[in-house]
Amino acid sequence: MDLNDRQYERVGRFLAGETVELTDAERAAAEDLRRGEAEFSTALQVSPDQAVLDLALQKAMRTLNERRRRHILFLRPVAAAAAIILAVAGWHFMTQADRSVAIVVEPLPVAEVADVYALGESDMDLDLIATELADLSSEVLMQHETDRIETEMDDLQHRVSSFWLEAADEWPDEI
Amino acid sequence: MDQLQLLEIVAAAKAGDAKGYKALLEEYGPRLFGYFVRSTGNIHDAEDLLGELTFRLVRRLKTYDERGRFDQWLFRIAANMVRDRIRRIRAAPATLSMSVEDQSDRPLADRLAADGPSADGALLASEAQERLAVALEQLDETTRQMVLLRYLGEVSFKELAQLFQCPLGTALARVHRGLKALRQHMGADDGPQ
Repeated sequence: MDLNDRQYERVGRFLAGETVELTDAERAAAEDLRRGEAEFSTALQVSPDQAVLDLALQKAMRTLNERRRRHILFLRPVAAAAAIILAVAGWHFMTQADRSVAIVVEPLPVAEVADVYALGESDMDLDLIATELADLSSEVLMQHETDRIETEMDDLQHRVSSFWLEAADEWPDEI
Repeated sequence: MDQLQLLEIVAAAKAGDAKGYKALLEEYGPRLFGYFVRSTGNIHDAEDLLGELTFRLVRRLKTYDERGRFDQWLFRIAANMVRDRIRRIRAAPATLSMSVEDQSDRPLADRLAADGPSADGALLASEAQERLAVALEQLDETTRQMVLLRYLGEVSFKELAQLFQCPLGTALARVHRGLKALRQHMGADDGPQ
């Protein structure tokens, strides 16, 4: 007897270990599906030759190492550029310290950043470092831009206030 | 291989030990290769896919979470690769063949045997193997994939339902119908050897 999808769903939950009261037909289907494992799981297998496996593994390891090396070679200049951006941004903040702009970033030495890249064990590490560096440098630049505008606004406000105060002082006594 | 052994091997492979990867491939190779051969009907495509899967295994093993079943994780990657391959075949049917018969019109079992050291010729040349290959070819693509993933990859029905984006009951119904069709094509009494 053929089961409908709803009955098969009950069989599926039963096979997954749930407590389900099955009808006779459902139980027969569950047993038949289990029997299929014994019948077909081994019959469907095909053993690859050992040489094929060895070759596949050698090729995979070699390709991965090659990609990693290329990645590092590509990312080193990127890391150096990011370090320079950070250094310049840091220097810019330091020179503006007397204008009450907080210095939030300490520039990293180029060599240190490059070492971090070299130590990355996988493409994922390298990607992560690259993303973090890119985020950090854009945050620094954005922060710098915001601070510059705020400083200019403060300055302008101060000059406006000063103008009115100075003007009041100069008004003639008779008025 | 028990779970503890598997975790040790996975840990060794994750640490970059080539022997760990080799042990994993030796353990799962026959099932994976069987899946690729049965899915593509072509031993050379299957070898390509096995090579590609090995590369993905080496590259992605670090993302494997030990709490999940390793074979299901591995077969999910394999299933996606086969799905991509099938899409490409459909887009360019003249360049690749999913048929049991290749350009030389030899049955798959004969080719597997004749292709020399790539497979266990004695086993695969058997009549039962040939009938199994032909029987699988009679199934529609989705049902064949579900049967192969269930019985080679030991992918759970729940996982199958997720992979094929269908209700759990539908996944079971398809596998069961596929199973019955395989038995029917192969002759109910003798089954696969």
